[in-house]
Amino acid sequence: MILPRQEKLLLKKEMLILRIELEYMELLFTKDQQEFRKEIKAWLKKNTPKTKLCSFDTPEGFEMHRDWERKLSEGRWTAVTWPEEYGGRGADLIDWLIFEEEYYLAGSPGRVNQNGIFLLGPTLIEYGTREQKDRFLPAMSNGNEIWAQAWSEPNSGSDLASLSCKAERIGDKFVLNGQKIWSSRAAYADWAFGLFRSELGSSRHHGLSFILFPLDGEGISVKPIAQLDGEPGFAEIFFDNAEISAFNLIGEQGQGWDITMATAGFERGLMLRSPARFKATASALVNLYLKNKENTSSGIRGRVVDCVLDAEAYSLSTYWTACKVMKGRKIGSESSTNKIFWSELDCEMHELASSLLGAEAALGVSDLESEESVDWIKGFLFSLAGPIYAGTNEIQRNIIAERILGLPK
Amino acid sequence: MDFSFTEQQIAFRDTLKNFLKDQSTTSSIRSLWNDSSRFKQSRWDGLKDLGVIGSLIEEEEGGLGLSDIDFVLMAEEAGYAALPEPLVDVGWITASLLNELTNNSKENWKAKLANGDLIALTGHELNKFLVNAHLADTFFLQSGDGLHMLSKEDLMLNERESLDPSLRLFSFDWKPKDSQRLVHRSESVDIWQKILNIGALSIAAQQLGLARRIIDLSVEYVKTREQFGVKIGSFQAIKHLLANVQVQIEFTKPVVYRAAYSIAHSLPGRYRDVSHAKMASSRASRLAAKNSIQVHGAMGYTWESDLQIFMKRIWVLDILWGNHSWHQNRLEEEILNTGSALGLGQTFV
Repeated sequence: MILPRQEKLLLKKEMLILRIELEYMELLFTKDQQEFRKEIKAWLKKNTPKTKLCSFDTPEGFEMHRDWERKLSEGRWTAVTWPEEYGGRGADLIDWLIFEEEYYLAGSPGRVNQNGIFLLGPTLIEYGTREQKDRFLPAMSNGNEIWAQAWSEPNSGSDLASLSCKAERIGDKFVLNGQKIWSSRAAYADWAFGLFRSELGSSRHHGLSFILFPLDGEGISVKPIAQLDGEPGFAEIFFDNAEISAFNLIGEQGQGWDITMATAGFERGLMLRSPARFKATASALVNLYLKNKENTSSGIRGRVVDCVLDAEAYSLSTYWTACKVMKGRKIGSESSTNKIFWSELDCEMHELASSLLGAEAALGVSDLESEESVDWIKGFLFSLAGPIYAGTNEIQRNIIAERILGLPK
Repeated sequence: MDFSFTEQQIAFRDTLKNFLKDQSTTSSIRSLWNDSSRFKQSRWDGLKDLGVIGSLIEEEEGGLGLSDIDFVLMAEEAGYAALPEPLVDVGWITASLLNELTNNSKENWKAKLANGDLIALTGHELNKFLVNAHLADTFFLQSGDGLHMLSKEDLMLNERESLDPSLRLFSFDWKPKDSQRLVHRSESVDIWQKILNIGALSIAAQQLGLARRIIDLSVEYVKTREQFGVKIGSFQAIKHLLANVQVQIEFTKPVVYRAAYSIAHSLPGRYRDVSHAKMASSRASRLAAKNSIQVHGAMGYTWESDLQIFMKRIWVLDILWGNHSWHQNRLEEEILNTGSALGLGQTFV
């Protein structure tokens, strides 16, 4: 046989110890976790606005959502996973998942500072200096500074490493020149973070720097772009000899690509789209189905069931990954499988909703009768952006094939 | 909340994995196709020595006293290797059934099973076929009337050609007799519910392993095969076919592992969790088979290619312990309901 006898016996013995081991798989929430759930549930019940806020891609809606971030911050709920000194609660990922579940259950407003809190925040915590953290994190968690991202350029979309926006280092300043595009929230946000080519003549992912800049800075102009729903959810940003303090450089000069990949990892990985969001949509889909089931084919019924199960699978998978991360494993290419799964699920759920809505699916937002229908139609349009933003699903499939499966470039 | 396996569980799984890598090669599987036993004694003895066959039997009976959460990983590896011997049927399904019986001591079945000497199979009306019934002497069978134990002579077996050449399939017929009944109808209901769940999960776990194996084979192939002067694995069209399967596999794993936990702890949601696992594995593994043939080109459609060993196992296992539709029907009512049990915040409640 394969193992020497002694080793085999040892193994059997180890397995016997298993049953009394404390670390054995446990899928129950601890008392502390249950208390945490109760606390956030009660707070949201009391504080969630009774009427729906206007879209945060309108000037008035943006400020309403900023106020909501401030309100959240009063309860220290904006960034539960951050250290306490920056306005967080030092919570772990399981607590974050619980928070998100309660957040979507309460129907609380969308997070206008998502780019800052979930993407830049973790990057700053990992790569920022003490001074940078003190300067940026509190203002982020209390809603005073809302953040936009600035990755893509007109000629550098999926091929981000080809970017050419310049950041020339002169003394303790960078001089920015060039253009960014598809910058989410940039129309009304205060600050943005992005990648710039800081080393003259460098190419691809070498010589890039990760720099923060104020959107109202001199030499910086923002031109909103209307999205498919007519609202300026993203924008172009133009840099014309914009001088930015070198204080705003995160990490080493020229090290920007690695930092960006870490940020993109957070983004695609766990925190961009929490499972609660899709569980909420799946539940709404079930309700929509029940309302309309008399006029619905059995094919639709099976697809609705699959959506509910896939939303559950996404939730399970996130807990599974969160437990791995909490045991010290980094999220790697798993973030690519995640992004494909949730974005395709979101498209499918909204496709089904469009079908279940019947004739209403042909109407624009102003003519829809119920708030629910508005959510479905807006959600339908937005679901189509999911397979594109944060790295298209085609790029994600390449990453899976090359980094997980090991196929040649 | 700790949704992960322990280091020991992984170590035990890896021991089995390495054993099977060595002992259950594709050539050794093929060599059994001309052997009507479809059974390799030395491999079975090795599994017994590792303790896997009796791992669910309690220590006093010579087993390891492990749980479904341990065996789910073993079943996945048995699937990965397309193991021909009935490790999962005996070691998980029948062993679990014996663990449910209160009156087994006089026959000493558990000790015999743990020792590799008892190949006993479990039959359920949901299954049209008994797999490898020719190997077993003892059968535990379900009828509306309870749980019966039969010997091979009491059973009318009718062999049908199996799509998977590594297995033999038998349709079976029998008339329940009072003398063969171990458990009466009313008390047997719970046992059969449990065994049905374990049976379905055992298929899901094997299909998950099979899907992983098929992807490994396909990756190997597209990294070697050249067309247009380059490895075909460098083409995006190929990459994306395989990436799509990888996505399905990644999202099937936690579903299968959670179902094992639900069974082990007899959670109220176990029926739903098991059906979810069976459906997810069925979908992932069938897609794995389909896309893998595609990236193999004509080679994938040959008898010579090893792909068939794994694809055919996927397709045969798929019909056992309730196929995709059966499990969808079982779930549907519970899910398509306001306040669905799978609602927001309900994942682990």
